Amino acid sequence: MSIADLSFQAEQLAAPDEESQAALIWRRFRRHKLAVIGLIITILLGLFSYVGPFVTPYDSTRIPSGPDYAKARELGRGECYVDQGGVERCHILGTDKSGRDYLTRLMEGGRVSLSLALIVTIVSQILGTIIGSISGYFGGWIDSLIMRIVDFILTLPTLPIFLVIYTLIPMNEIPGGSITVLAFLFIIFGWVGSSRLVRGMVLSLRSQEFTDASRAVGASNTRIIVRHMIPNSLAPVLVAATLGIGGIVVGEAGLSFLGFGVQPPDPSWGNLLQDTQSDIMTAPFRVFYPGMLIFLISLSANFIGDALRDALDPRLKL
Amino acid sequence: MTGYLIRRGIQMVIVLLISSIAIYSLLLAAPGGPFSGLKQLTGSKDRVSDAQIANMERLLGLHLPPQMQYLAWLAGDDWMGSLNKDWEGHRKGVLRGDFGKSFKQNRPVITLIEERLPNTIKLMAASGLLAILVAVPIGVFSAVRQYSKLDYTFTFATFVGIAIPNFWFGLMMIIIFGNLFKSWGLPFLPTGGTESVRIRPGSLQAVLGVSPGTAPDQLIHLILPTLTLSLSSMAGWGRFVRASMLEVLRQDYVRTARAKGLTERVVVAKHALRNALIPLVTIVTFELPAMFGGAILTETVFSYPGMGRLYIQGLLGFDYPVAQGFLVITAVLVVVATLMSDVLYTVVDPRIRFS
Repeated sequence: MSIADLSFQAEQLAAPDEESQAALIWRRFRRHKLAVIGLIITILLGLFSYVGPFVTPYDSTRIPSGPDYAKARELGRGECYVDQGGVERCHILGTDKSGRDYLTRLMEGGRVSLSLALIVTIVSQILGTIIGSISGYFGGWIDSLIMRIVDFILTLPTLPIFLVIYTLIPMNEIPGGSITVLAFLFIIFGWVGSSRLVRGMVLSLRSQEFTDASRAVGASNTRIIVRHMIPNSLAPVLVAATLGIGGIVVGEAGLSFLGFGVQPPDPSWGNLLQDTQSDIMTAPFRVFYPGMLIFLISLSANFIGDALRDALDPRLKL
Repeated sequence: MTGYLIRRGIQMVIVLLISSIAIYSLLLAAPGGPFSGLKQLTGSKDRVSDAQIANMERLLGLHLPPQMQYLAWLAGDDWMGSLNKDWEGHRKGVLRGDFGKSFKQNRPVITLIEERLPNTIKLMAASGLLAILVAVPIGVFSAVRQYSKLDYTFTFATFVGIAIPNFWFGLMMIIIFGNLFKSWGLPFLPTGGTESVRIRPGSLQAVLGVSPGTAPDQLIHLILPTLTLSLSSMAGWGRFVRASMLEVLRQDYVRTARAKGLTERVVVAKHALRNALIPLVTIVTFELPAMFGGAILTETVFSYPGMGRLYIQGLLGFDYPVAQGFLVITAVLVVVATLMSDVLYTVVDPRIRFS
């Protein structure tokens, strides 16, 4: 029997087992009704934000020109007007102060907010996993240096520091402008959590027999970290990442609301709230919607993360 | 214990010195110099002439070497001889409460802080108190009746409290208790400031017969900001108390207390709760700086004249001395709170040794 046959057989043997593992996780996940609802809401909001901008006939940043401008401004929900070309334009959620369709701004804002949160989460978790596994695996002075840095970052008051760094950075000289700056700020402060988590996992994995076994067969440190340490500590990282997404969306919203986040004309769920602060009296619904979407995605992420924790490993307690 | 405190004290001073260097560098790190922002401001009121800026630069001592500027900023110049003849030894330095003058208001920053800090302290004290008063019963009931309907409801509520963007919750409060209540003819709440100049008819103050500017009036102004700022701590601490309580209820001495025939009420209130609340003390202390930071958003939503609002105005107006003042206070608060929570942790739980 050749080696290829053997590995083929091994795959056949492994396949049903893996499937049942996924099925098991899904079954445990489904027990959390709220998490399932959260998952559905997340999918819907994803469609809203990523497919919505292609469906809507309006542009999220273009301001109607000429006589249309006056007609299109601050329309209420469901109101219409006839533009210069004689086309009737209806706005389900009305328009903002510059006559832009509010529903389209919400969709595009979701794209910005969710993309930022996803990118930040993915990059900072990868970074945190790598740094944490190095810290835990090698120990010694590397470990204490990294952990001192982590402790230091954890005590920093994030909001005041974000605000002052944001003020000092020359925005228009940076490609991508405010969104890039925000992503970097969140990543710089975001990797610490998962690095601690992974370090803790690696510390216990390191002393287990399979690590000794792989060292005995001559595996390099890099190989042990990449093939054994990291895959075995992925579950808590995945949970922490899911729980963290909500925090990033809310954090971005807070900064943008203060005027230190995503800069207009690009919409984000946070800076839509900044634009509407004066609408509290006249058009409260314009304050309600963006915040409600932020709240929904953040709540869903929390429920999903909570259920994932139970589903991936019932022993896990963060 | 004494040795530990001395060591921690020295660490604290070093950390604060490093932070003060970082905070002073802000002024120098501003792209185009500390006054570039002021030059950009083109509003008629804010307009600053070149001569004025040259004068301000001279008064700030920008021509001096950075380390001398920093020293004068930190410790004053009256002890250094005539370093800069414009100061004439009048600067006292941050260590003696002199943060310099605001670029825009031509008033000492310390005066601004003295005006604003009490408001923020009031807001934080009220929020912390409310959060504890709500979190403890919620956590205890949830733990005692684990997996009951009440527990699920409270757990759901804590999820909501953690996930909701606080400032948006504040905006919703304004819409509901400010605007909608007013239009429904219900006693509506004030949505901004610390006290009213005159009582608006139909407001809660009018209904209660409170006169403007009195303590009850100020208390009513605190209601909505306090609710908003306390929400996330309330949820977080509630969850913490539940977990802590569940752990304690499993302990042997609780079983012993029950075995002695004590009522469940006494067991929970006297034996379990006391021990379950110990770790909360450290958590609350540790989170004070975060609350101070969170106040930035709350104060903005409610146009509440506190430190956070001052900071935002300072940053938006490129008024660096004001921003520096806020950051110095934040740094002190973080360092003191971290030390206090570490010390409290060891004081309240003798099982943990100093090392």
